[in-house]
Amino acid sequence: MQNTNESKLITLYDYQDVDFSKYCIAFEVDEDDIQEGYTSLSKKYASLLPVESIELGDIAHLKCTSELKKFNKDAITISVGKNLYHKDLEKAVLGKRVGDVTQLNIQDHSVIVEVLKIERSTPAELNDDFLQANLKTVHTMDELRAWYVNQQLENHILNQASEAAEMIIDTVIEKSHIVISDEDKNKARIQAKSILDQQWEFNGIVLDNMSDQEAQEILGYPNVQEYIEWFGDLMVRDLYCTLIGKELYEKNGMVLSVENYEKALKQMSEEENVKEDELRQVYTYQGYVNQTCSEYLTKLIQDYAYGYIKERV
Amino acid sequence: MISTANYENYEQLLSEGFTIVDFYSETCGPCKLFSKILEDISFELPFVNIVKVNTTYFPKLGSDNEIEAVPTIFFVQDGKILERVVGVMDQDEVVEKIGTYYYG
Repeated sequence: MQNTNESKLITLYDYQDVDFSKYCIAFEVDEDDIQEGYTSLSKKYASLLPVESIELGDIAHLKCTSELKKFNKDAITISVGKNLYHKDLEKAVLGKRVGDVTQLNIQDHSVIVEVLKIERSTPAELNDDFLQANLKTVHTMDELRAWYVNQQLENHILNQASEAAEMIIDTVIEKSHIVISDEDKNKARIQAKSILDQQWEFNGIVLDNMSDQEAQEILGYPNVQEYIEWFGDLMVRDLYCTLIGKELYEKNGMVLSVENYEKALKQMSEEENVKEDELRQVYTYQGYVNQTCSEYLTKLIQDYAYGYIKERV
Repeated sequence: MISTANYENYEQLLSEGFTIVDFYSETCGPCKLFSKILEDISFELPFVNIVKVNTTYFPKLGSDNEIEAVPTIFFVQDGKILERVVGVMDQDEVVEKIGTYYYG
């Protein structure tokens, strides 16, 4: 007789029987994105070059003399026109050259401004010589373009594979025979609420006190209850994934054991600089099993979808 | 100017003047977005020091500075933290902070 308090997987639908060919969408190069890449690279390697007279956006090195403390500086550097220092002062130095002196009134006090140096942030000119001198991985403009295109293609495949994996897992859940006990579902929903409370507390917000309007503006849900239910559904879905993942994990020859749990705990303790005994309180053996199985399923299906899509786009 | 911090140079990079410190990790998507914002700012305001701290390669810099989420941004003057912000800031917000702290 089945123990109604126990969650279990009865029959597993084969994920390789799921048709996800609709995710094999042809890849098209985004030229705007490539141009953005070139612009970003040029700016990254920009040089400061001396110029004759001040224009908007130039970097001006000034000496300011005044009774006002803020405007009594032997050397102050500004980006002219950003108005971070003083709007009128920055306007007054437009067109000035090195050595020019100008006087203005700020807050009923005289401020004398002398231009010491003027520089302009000049983007690098991208060409083969520049790339050879500055980059390790590409040496020509053709190689640079190919690198950007390859990045776009990789992102395209990863995005499609990620969406496909979600659909595949949902289909396997739907077509398998899995029983999740009411007790486990309730525990998952309680845990979901606890996680959300902690996350929002970190931002100084008490979730239960959130009004419907705040829920719509901040959470994107009609009310807090629907938001909590959504997250609870994710945690319940994770229960299905854990059972499916465990089945596949063991079917593929891997072992869930206390010994492996202790190894994982030790590694986590070293990486996060937390004592093992403290970690053990929050990362239990059951938690390790659930996480390992769920992550294994996600990776297995994503890698499978990735390989399939890569061959076809 | 953008500098990269490691265990040896972190304190020294922050010790003098005004600095923006960007704590990020290799797998953080929003960090990449913020990185681009800082690059644009560095182009327009090249005299502002920006220090990037990779918490994946230098986790102790993250834990010593109590970094719980990335990106986390520090605004520092002569080694003293004036403000810390968790999460991506847009360009205007960062520039406004520069105006407040760099020019007083």
